Formats: sequence, C-alpha cells, structure tokens
Amino acid sequence: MEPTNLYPVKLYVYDLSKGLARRLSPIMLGEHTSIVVHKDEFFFGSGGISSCPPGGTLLGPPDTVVEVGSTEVTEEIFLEYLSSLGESLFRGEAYNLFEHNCNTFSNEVAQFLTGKKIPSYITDLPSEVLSTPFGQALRPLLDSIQIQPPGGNTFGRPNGQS
Amino acid sequence: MPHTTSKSQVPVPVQMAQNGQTSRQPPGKDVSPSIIRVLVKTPNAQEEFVVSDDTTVSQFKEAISTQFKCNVDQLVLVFVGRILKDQDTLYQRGILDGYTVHLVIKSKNGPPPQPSGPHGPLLMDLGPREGIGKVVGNGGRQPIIPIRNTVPTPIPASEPEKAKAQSQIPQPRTAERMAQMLESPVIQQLLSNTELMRQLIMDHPEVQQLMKQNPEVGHILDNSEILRHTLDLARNPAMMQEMIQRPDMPRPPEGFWGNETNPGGDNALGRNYAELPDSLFGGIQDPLRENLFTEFMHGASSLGGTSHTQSQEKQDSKPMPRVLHNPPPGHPLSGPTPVAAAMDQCPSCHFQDDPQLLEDLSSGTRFTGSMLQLLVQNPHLAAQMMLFMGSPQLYEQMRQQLPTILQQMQLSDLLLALANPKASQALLQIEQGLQMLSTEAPALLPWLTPYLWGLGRSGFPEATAAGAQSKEASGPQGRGKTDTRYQPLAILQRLQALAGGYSQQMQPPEVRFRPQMERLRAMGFRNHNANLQALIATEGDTSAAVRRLKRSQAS
Repeated sequence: MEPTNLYPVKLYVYDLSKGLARRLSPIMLGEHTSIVVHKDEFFFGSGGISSCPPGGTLLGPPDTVVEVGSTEVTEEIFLEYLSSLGESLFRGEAYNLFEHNCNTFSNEVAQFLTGKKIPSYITDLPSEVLSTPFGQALRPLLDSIQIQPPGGNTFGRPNGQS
Repeated sequence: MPHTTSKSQVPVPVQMAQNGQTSRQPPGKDVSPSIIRVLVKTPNAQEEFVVSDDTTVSQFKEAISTQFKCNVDQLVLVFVGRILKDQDTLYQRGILDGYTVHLVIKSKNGPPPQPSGPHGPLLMDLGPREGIGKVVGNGGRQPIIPIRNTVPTPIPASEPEKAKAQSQIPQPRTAERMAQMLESPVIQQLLSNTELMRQLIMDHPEVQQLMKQNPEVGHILDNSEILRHTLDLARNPAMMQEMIQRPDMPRPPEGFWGNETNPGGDNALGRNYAELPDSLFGGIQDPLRENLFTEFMHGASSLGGTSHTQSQEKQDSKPMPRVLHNPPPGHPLSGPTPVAAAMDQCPSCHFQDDPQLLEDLSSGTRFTGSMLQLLVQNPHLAAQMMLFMGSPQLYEQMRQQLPTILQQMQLSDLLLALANPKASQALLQIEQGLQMLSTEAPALLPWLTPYLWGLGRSGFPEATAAGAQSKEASGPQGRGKTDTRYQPLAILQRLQALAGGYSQQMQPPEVRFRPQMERLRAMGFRNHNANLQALIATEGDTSAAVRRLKRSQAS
C-alpha cells in the first residue's frame, strides 16, 4: 500500500461551567466542543460553521482535549465537506441548543473523519436535561439561547477556498 | 478495522467465486461474496446501496455517480477516516452490511460546469450563487465582482497594520467571506431597502453634522455597496461579534471599500464594545443583543465620547468615527457608564441619568457600606437578583463582571426593583414555592439550583451578618423564616428591608432626621450642622448622636 498521510483529529472540550457555579448556570449544556484537524479548529454555532486557530475563540484554550483518531481526509476534501455541511445540515439557523448544537456537529465531523463518535457523556447531556420535567419547562427559554463563541471565522460557501 | 468479524450468514468453506477481482484478498477468505447494504452519506443526503461486498471501490463509485448525478472523479469516499481507493474492495476495507460510508462530492472550481448533466448538490449550490452574482451584476452590481477579485490583493497590504495576532485566520478568508456575504440573497433584499436606509441615515441630525465636517462620509453614504454592507453588519450580530473580537482585524473592508474611511462607525462602536470586559460576551449570543445594537446606533454619541479616549491610534483611518466624537465633547458620563449602557438596557437608564446615585452609593455611610459589602462578597447574589429581573442571558453576562461594576450597577437596580413591593412579593412567592419543593421533592433540587440562589449559601453567613448590621426592623422577621437549608428567603427579605432603607436614604438627611433633629434641639444642642452630622454618622440614632455631640463639645 502506498504511504498515506494521517492527520490527527482532536476534540476540544470547553467546560462552560468552569468558574461559574454549575448550579447557577442556565446553560445546562455545560460543554462546548469543537474539532481540531489540519491545524484548524472547527465548530458550530448560531452563526453557522466557524473556524479559527486552535484555541482561538474567546473561550481560550480547551479544558480537555480528546484524541479522536486520525484521518486520511485531506484538508481540501475536508473543507469541501464542511462547506456542504454548512449548506445543508449545519446552517446557522439550524442551531438548537438542545438538539442540534456544537456537539452534534463535532460528533458528525468526528465520524466523518475517523469513524468514531465523540464521548457519549457530551452528546447525552442535552437529552438528559430534556428528560427532566424541569428541562421541558425551561425548554422554550433555552431554545432561544444561541451560543457562538467569538473569535471564529464563519465558514463560507465553497469559493475556491482550498 | 473490523476485518475479523465473521459473516455468520454464509459459513462456507473457501470459495473464490470471482477470483479475478479479488486477487488481493488475504488468503483464507472463508466466505463467499455476499450482498451487503451500504449507506452512503453525503452532507446533504444519504442513499442506500445494495452491492456485493467484493465490489471494488471504483465500481461502487460508478453506481454512486449515477445515483447522485455527478462524475466519478468528483467522488471521495471516506470510511473510518480512510479514503477509499479505487482498487480496493468493500470487503477489504471492512465495509460490512449496514455500515455507513461518507461521501464528499467535490465541486468544480473555475472550469465551467460540464455539459453532462447537473452536478452534485455542491455545485447546485454554487450555481445559483454565481448566478446571483452575475445576474445582479447586470442590475448594477457589476462592481461587486471585480471587487471580489481585488479583495485578496489589498489584504496583504493591510496585514502589517494588524497589531494583534489575536487570530491568525488567513485574511483572504475574511474577505472572501465578506464577498460571499454580499452575494447572498439577503443582500438583494437589502438593495431595495438601501434607498430607505440611506434616507434614514441622512435624516439623522448627527449624520448631517458629520457630513458637513467630513465630506467623505457623504461619499460613503452615497455608495450603495458600502451602505449595504454596513447594514448587513448591523443586522448580523454574529458578524459584528467577530469584528468586535478582532478590533484590529476589520481592515479588509478598507481595501474593499477602496478608501480609508469605514462607514457606519461600526468598528468604532465595535471597539468600544471590545473595551468592555471580554467575559461580557462569554460566547453567548442572544436576541437581546439586537437591542444592544440598536442602543448603540442611537447611543453612538455617548459611546463615541469614550472611544475617543481609547485607541486613538486607530483613528487615523477612521475620520468618521472621530467626527462622531466631536458632537458630545463634554459628555458627563465617564468610562463605567457606557459599560452600564451596554450591559443593562432599560434598568440602567435611570442609573445613567442619575450620577447622583453613584455618589450616594459611594458615600460611605455604614448602611450602604454594609450593603456594598454584601454584594461584593456575593456578586452571584446580586446577579441572581438580576436573573429574575432580566433574562438568563443577561444574567450570565452580569455575573462575569468585575464586582465593583456589578455592585455599582446592580445595587440601585436591585434595590429599586426590590423596593417595588409587587416584585419582591412575586419573588417571595417563588422562593416559598421552591422551598416547599425542596422539602417535598429534594430530588428535584439539582435542577432547581439555578433558582435556589444556592450559590450564596456559603456566603450567606456573612451575608446575614452584614445584613444584620442594618437597623431595619424587618430583620428579625426574615430570620424567623430562615432554616438551615433555605436562607435565600431571609436574604431576600433583608435585602428588601435594605431597599426600603436605602430608598429612604435617598431623601436628604435633613428630611430623614427631622424628628431626631427636633429632639436634639430640645435637648439643647443648637448647632444645626453638628446635629445633622452626628445624626448621619449614627444613622439617626438620637442617643448615640447625643453622645457624639457631647464628645465633640467637650473636645
């Protein structure tokens, strides 16, 4: 087999409740995640898919870094993929704090890149919250919360970017 | 790679039915080729394919290209992060029944779409966009397209300007993005509104003043593209946020606009915004922000006043914002107040308008001192109060503020809100309900904690101590309701009392202490001023004031 390049894929986990008393936070989704590959960090927020240098959002460096694996997917292909994701499944307006958030995106991308999912404790958090009557009650309120960590560059449509 | 999983459905000894294709198979393949269902997933869609597992990838791609109506060359199949090569078979790559393979359809950049049928979803998206660019170009937007091409070139020129390397995003991306933004259908709609917006802007008296002082502004306003982009900026909080975060960044528009002025003063405002504690933006974007922006637009003058003092060096390229500073030269409000303006909305109105309050706050009477201390020690407490007054998002922003700012801002709002009997009544009811819940269904507590003001629990002992210093009579009443688990109620009431006391304090001491003054005078203390001072110092305690006066008389 000819040698193929393997690019490491990492998951950056930002614990949003760090420093804030967790019980006070109306943002029960306590973690924001992003995927880091090809020396860039990619995440999904209410502004759509964004990218920045690793750790370059306002949130600073991540609290946890999870090694997802490695991928053969080149940057070019990856950007194409992200572009079409941004057109379809991960448009900005599709953002929903509970069901279609940054972690959804990270999961999707991680699977694409490596076939693996991100740790379940992150993805299960929203449904855990939603399954409580309290969560259900708060849902309309929380639905309106949109998280967009500043410092990212919104991913545009394909336009000869790669 | 799941090569080792056995195919239980066909446990047949060695049988190489199609040897020619599978010459690369590892020896000892013990199952015959079987039909598998493979899910091919694109970002936009997914299709199921039923194929034999010794289909080669290239054959698979052909089937896919027919299904997705694109060229085989455009297809990139990814499985478990590996790019599938044409000569492998699906089985070799470990693709078993029910597995999902990811598909990326490459778009064709540059070369015109091939005549052979429509391309994949990617290109279909690209098409209309280019169409928009071209069609609209005919409608007078011709300049857009050449600008798009020229955007990359001014970028390198503007690079050296950037002092901060805060984000090393390749510049072309930003510019490209902006260019793309302009091409979006949204802009088309804005086109129709540009006239309207221009009228609106021109009608603003400050703008007119600006235009007098700076003819370039008029030029900008006349330039529909710039207007359009400015409007888009204003309408798009996300983008505004980006620009805010990288205050040195928005240089690309310079090249884009073709001149040195930057319309809308958005960046000036944005920079002001950036002056605020960064945590204000803790990643939270909410509908409230729209309001903040409108407030900015209207409050441009007040903010302009402050930005004048900061980041002067950036002003050279921004004659318009600089001019903005001139109208409100003697703006009385100082630095913290725009902070207040930005963070609070209506609650801060009265605060802003009344710097007197600030003074009252900092006049270190024992009463306010204790109150301030209470809040300083428990900013979370104050923030929690805001939770009910504002919204969770606002609250989130609040609690990350410096304690001083917080207390300055929150204090009056807090107390004034508390002074509203109905509001505190409602709060009390909520607290009572929660208290009941806590006793009836403790299991719910973890989820209720945001509303339990539980954070203050650890600080509550000191809070109670601080609160106890107040001389209000309702203190004991609050204490009566305190149980070990549920102190917030007590605090609420105590604060309520403090609020009542504070609002009382807002009256001049003379008025407040009139009865005591009378008494002092009756006792023989004629010195009106000294009496007043003594009373103030002792918080209206007549006997203490007497002692004080005697002491001072004796000395």
